[in-house]
Amino acid sequence: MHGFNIAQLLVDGIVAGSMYALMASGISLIWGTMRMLNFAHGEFYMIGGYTLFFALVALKVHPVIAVGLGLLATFMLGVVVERLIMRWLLLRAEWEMPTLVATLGLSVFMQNFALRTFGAGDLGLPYVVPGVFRIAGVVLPGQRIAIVLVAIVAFAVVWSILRYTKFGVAIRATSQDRDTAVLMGIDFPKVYMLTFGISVALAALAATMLAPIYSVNPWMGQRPMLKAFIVVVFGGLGSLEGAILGGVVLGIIESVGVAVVSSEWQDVIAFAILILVLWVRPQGLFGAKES
Amino acid sequence: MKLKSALIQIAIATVFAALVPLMMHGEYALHVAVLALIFAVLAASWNLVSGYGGMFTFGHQAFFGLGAYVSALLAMHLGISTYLSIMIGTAFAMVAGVVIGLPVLRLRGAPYIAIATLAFAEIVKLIADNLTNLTHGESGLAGIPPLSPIGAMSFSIADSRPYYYCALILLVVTMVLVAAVMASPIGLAFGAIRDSQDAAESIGVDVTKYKVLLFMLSSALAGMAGGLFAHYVTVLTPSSILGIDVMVQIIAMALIGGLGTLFGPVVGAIILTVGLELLRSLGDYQLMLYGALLVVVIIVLPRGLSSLPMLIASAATKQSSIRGSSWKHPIKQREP
Amino acid sequence: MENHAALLELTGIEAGYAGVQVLWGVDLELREREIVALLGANGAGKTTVLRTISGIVKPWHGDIVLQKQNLDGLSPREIVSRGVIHVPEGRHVFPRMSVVDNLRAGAYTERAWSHQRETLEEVYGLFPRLYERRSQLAGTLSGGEQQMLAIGRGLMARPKCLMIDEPSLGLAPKLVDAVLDLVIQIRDLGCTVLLVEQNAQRALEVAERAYVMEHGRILFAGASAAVAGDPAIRQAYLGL
Ligand SMILES: Nc1ncnc2c1ncn2[C@@H]1O[C@H](COP(=O)(O)OP(=O)(O)O)[C@@H](O)[C@H]1O
Ligand SMILES: [Mg+2]
Repeated sequence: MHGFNIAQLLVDGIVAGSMYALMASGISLIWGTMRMLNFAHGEFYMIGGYTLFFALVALKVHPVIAVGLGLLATFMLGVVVERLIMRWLLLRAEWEMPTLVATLGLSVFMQNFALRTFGAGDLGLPYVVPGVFRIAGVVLPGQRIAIVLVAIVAFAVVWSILRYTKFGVAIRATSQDRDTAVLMGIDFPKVYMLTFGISVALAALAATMLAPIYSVNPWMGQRPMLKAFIVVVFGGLGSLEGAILGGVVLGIIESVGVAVVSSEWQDVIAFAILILVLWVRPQGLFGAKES
Repeated sequence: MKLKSALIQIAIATVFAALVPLMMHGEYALHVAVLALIFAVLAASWNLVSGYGGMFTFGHQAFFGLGAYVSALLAMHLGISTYLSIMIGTAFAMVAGVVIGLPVLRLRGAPYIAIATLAFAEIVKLIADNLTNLTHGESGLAGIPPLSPIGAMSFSIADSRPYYYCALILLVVTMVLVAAVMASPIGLAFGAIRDSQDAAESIGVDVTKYKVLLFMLSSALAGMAGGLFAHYVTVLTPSSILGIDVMVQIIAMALIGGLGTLFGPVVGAIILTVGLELLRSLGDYQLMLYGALLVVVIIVLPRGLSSLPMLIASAATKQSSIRGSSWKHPIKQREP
Repeated sequence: MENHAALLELTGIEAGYAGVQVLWGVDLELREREIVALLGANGAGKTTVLRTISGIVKPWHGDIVLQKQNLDGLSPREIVSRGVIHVPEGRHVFPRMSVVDNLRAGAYTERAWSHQRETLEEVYGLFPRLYERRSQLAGTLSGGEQQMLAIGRGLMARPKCLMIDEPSLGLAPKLVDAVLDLVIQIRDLGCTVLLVEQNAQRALEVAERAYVMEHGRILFAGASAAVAGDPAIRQAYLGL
């Protein structure tokens, strides 16, 4: 071992950060469009993980198809959840607290549902992308390279959808001024439904990338979601760029932090920084002040 | 509610509650009753900040856990009276309430408040997890002394009855405090804060000062409940008292009873604790039920059981539903 | 003008918010290719009339008929796709979207989206200023430019009927001239314009006909000249 390799730490940080960014961008997307915080985001991540596991182990499909199935299943579940639960709350004059409560309840429900159905055990998965690369002393398993590439592609796709498609125009218009978007003929309930689906599919994508590294269990979504909360506070809720930047920054802070602080205290520091950031800049570290 | 009528109602309820142990058979039923009372204190104290104060926090379990661990550790290691240790634990929780309350007060918007308070609770839980020398982490802090004897009355794990009365006293104190605060000029100010922070500020209400007060009181009560809990169950693990599951239970209780009402959270705590004991055969499905219940209640009965009479009345007179808005109705203005 | 066919007809419209009635039997008729002013003091119910037409507020009683088709029960989206467009009071441009993206949002319906390019050319023709600023964020435009954008965005839907709520609000007199000039040009392109104004004087100069509202009722309807020439109306309802 070469003790302290700053390049390795940076690369590791970017790998972890790209996944935080994926999680955070989903949370930010929902916040930006629907002004709600999804406390069940981590459980959709979990659904992605289990779907990947069963697709690979039970159906024995090609990994790419398995990832696709994970995204699709989670997207559809998200759409259904939005339609059956969130819709009622989002149309109320007071929706912030009720949506928090409902997603919290959903989170508890989904976790314990998974616990009853699949058991508490950790389900392990083989790396989807094999091989280990060594570049200038930096060790890079193929899976981790794939993670960064997938994240970049995912962001490019989401960004292009927002920027160029008709649906993207509808999302942005709805998020900036819902009542006026209606006057354009934009069907905001449909926008909400699809946005929710896309958001949780991003969580599932992160899960399908990370499940082989960690493992699949009912609580697998908890940590990533809390991390994503930190990221959205860094980046400012509602900002895609902020989520990406915040994710990578958190990833690097954490990986470099290992060299300084023992790992079990890392999260304490991360959460403390989060509270500090909120204290100093309630709108987020990189976020613009909302008017 | 007028203070006098609130106090009368509390007094009547207390008399009935004091008779409960006489009617109960078996140690186990009484044990459930003690837990129900402790959770009622938690729900009622959370209601102070979230229901009356309008700040929907997600970290109330932190104060409960702080009160529990601090009191347990002091009593174990310093051998001081448990009442003194509970007081110190309460003070810890109160200080923590101010420490987290100050940044939270600057936040506008439920999501940031939720995230900040949740992060705080996670910090407390991680510390309890990590300080294994002191807390033994998830393997559990055992051997916590029961409450110190008062005169001839002694406390032991074998007998829940004395604990029942202790918990009842704590609950009554909590409710009287809540009623008193709400009837005071401070309480009126909170009404103004809840209706509109800007309006409250413009009429010269010192919003920040009152909210800090609310946070202090609420976290102190939760800490005291934690201390009592520690010396009652005599075993603590971080996940059992500092986990988000505890918060979920508190929210469910307060919401089912009715947020922002004096008796709502207490009624909710009793219904859920007792109700779920009756559904014990469900075993591990209990938490699933809690989750589902939260979702259903927030959709169907957003104001909890306290709104039931109103809902029934409006259904009977066929007035437009309280739930109101299909999206075809006038679209409410949202902040862009 | 008499030979113009009826486009949009409101009869006996009653509507309100959350049980509070605001409109008490409004009758209103728009014909093809005309400018009609809807006047009245603040709170008279003008905006509510527009909201009812655009389907955001559902009428409790009465009919809204567009070219012999009853709009009853249609969603705002369906009404927009039938060519009735509401340009809201206070502009309400999407502040963090570029000018061109605001315009694209206006072309959201199927039909309008497929004609996006041509319509965009037309709108830029009418508003050269918007073309100059096309990649600027809408929130950074001046008030007058934002009003132009709001109207341009409405035109992107290729409307049969454009309802503009208080376009002159908060604009300097010169800009008011420019906006009203545009209203005439829009009419000349074949679009009916319902112009809601508190600024009665100027609205009456461009409109052919006018309705005067008070307390949710139509008090007077007639040719602009008649409204402008009636001293009682001028004084009591228009503050002229
Ligand atoms: N969203 C709303 N909710 C409740 N009442 C409203 C709403 N919008 C307008 N009103 C009321 O309806 C009446 C008419 O308002 P409006 O149609 O905006 O008038 P105008 O556009 O002529 O100024 C006013 O008394 C106003 O208070
Ligand atoms: Mg108006």
